[in-house]
Amino acid sequence: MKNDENLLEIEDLKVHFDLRQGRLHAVKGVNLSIKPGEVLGVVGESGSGKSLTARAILNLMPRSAQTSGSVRFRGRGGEVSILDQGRESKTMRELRGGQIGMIFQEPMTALSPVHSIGQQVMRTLTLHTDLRKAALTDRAAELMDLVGLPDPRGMLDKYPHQLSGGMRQRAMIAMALSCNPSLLLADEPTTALDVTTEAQILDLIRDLQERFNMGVLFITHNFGVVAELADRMLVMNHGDVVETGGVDDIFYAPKDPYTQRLLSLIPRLPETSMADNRDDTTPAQAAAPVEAPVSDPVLTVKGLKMHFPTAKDWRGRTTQVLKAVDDVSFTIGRGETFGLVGESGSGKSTVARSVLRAYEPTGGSVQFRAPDGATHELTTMTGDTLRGMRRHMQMVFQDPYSSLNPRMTVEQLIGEPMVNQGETNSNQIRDRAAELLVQVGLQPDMLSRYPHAFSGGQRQRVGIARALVTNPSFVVLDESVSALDVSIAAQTINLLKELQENLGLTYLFITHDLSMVANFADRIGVMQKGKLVETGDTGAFFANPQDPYSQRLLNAVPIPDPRRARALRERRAALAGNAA
Amino acid sequence: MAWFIVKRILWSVPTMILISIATFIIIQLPPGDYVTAYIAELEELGEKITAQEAAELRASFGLDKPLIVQYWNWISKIVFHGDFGLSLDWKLPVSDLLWDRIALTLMISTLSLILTWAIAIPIGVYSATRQYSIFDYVFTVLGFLGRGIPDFLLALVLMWLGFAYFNFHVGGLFSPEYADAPWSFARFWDLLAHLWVPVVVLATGGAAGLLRVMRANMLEELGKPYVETAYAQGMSEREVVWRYPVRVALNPFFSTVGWALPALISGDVITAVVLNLPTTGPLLLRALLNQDMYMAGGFILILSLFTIIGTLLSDILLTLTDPRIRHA
Repeated sequence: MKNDENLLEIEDLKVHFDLRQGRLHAVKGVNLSIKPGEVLGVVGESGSGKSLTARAILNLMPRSAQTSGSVRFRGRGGEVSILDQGRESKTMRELRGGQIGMIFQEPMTALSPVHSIGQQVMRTLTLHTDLRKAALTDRAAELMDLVGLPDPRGMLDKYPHQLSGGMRQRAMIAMALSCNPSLLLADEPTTALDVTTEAQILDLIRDLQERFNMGVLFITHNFGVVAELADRMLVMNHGDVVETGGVDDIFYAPKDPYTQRLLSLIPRLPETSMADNRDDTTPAQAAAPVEAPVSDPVLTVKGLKMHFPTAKDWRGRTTQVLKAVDDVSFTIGRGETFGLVGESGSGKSTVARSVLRAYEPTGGSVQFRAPDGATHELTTMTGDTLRGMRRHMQMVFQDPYSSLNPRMTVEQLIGEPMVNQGETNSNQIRDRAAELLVQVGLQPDMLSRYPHAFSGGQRQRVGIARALVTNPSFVVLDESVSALDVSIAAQTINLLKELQENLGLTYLFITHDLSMVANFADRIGVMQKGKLVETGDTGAFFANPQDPYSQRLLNAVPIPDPRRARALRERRAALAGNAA
Repeated sequence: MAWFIVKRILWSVPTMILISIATFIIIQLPPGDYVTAYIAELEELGEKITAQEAAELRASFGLDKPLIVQYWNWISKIVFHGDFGLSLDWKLPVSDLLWDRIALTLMISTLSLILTWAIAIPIGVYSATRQYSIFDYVFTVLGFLGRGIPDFLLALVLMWLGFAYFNFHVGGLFSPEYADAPWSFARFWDLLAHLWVPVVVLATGGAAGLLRVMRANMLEELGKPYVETAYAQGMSEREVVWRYPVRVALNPFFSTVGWALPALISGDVITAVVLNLPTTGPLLLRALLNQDMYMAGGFILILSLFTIIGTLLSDILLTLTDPRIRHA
């Protein structure tokens, strides 16, 4: 190694695949190093080669990958040149899990569904230590305790599906840390989690990293997470490292144009938010701002309830219900964007589906004013009248990959709602579809293509075109930009704003991402466990959130600003110290 | 877990009652009854039977009583005395004919099921872990051939090979000299010498299909993140593959045990006829053709019972192997 202090050194790492269509250069010369106790953040959009770089450190790339360059790791047994070892060699197997631990993105699928947590943790321990029997169980329970899981002994007998996402990720961390690795690789470990859970997991990783003086390679697409956690960072784009340096240098003085662009696109919470005085538990709060009544309401939801039966007795009568949506009321004015925010399971998507009558609500009323000025009660509407009403209300879904039928052309996809509304003239459908493609920024000659020929962002534009084809006045955006990369999400939001202005659309924007609503919504509603705990104007909400849950949610959002993140962290630590 | 099994067993009682009623109705559905078939047979031989004689015959078989009475007579004897009635065709108690054949069928079926799995699982796993390798292609070709060649044709080929080149006695399960002999080691050996043909024939067809299923299941499982986690823990490839994805990929196999059992018993009738096997298939076929109602009814009832037992077995196996079902 060049530097004796380094734990890991990667020099000019290149990875390519020979495909039928030609050679794909996935990683084009990565250089990086990590010292013990150092956290290196690797940021990039999808396809930047960041995950592949982490796999190269474990020599676990796809079998078809061709590599060059060097990856050197200084382990307990001396220096190892990883790419020169066989994938299945004893040296590699001893490093994996023994000296290099790895945590993955999907806590649901990254654990074996048919083995208990205990079996999986103990398996790693058996492979790398001499612990057996009672000592093995003791160590496993100790690890459960270390990562903050309740009832450590009982936890060992649980299966992944019995745990929440956050608990699974804790178990995953326990597994990765079980043999005291000196290097921890984390590949988007908090991406699939809710913000409040994300904040806890980040705290846990930082705490353990400091305690055991581990080197950490932390991969993420989220600048906020890097700002919270990393010492140094690396920005990757299409297999290249475009910039590397200290976190402060890159955040406050980015040199590369790509980094500058990404940083300018990150959705940020308003500067004036309570974030700076957060953790000051309930200061003399101003009286809740009185909300001005919405003029010209398009959608009026009153006392909406959606209860799903979860248990029935032998006579088929419902004995237990899940109150997915419980007594939710809000109003959306014409041309307005209402942001509905909440963590997974809060009932925000159920609200959308109940409003659009994909579900039949179990209570409450939903009044919709059609473009002709007449107001309709949707909850009691059925059959053809409901189908007719759907022309005015459409939805854009989250996943641009699974929400488009792969066997239909773009023309068929966009035209389908028209066909459903009884349009039979195929020329008219084609013309309308072409017109919409132009409106969403695509070319009309793409009509005959299939979804697989488009990128994620382009697919989402097709989804938007499909929603707009019947000329709706009201559109539900259900996490419509959540699956997209930062730059693509920003473009999509701009497109949606533009369309709103030109076509006079009214949006119900559903998201888990507070920073996304801050830039988009006129008003905000926060949902928790089926209830709407707070509604208000976006500005007022971020300046002074009223509900404790809203405050907690806002607190948990990682801030893409390292100095502020550090200041807050120290403050929180001090507060915790005072409390203790 | 125990409560789950008890509940399932309790549920099978009303299911069985409904099935027995349905069975009885179905065997009564074709126009005419055994006496009609018997008269037609006699007439073919040039004999005549008077209307009175026919009525007497019906009365002696109890066929003149209302359906519900006939059903009760039939089912109560089965439940309380294990008496499945008299085969009208063979003039023998149904139970005498039934159990021998079911025992032999079960033996052939179980052996071929085990052989099927023994072939399909390792090859399926290999094909998936070495996708697009030469052997994957070889097994794919063999698999499609095995799937495409009808079982009875394979049976004929094997019989011909055995007869022409190895001088085996083929067809049936015993050589003539052992057919009615008491059980002895020599007779057992003779049975084994005959048994391999039907077992191989039945297993290859099944294995060819199952190995495709296993390969597809494995390919899906191998792509899942938990496999990568297992590698990252430091396991060897062999351990990763057999400890994790194989276990998950086997679930669909367990869930088909329930159908395998009755399918094997009603068995490949054509193959059984070609190989002259004293299994249940040909017997059921004949009973249905001759409107031998108690015989057919007895068979169908036993088949249904096996279906229910098989499904129960599948459910228990699944709850044992998959915690997601156990703790649902």
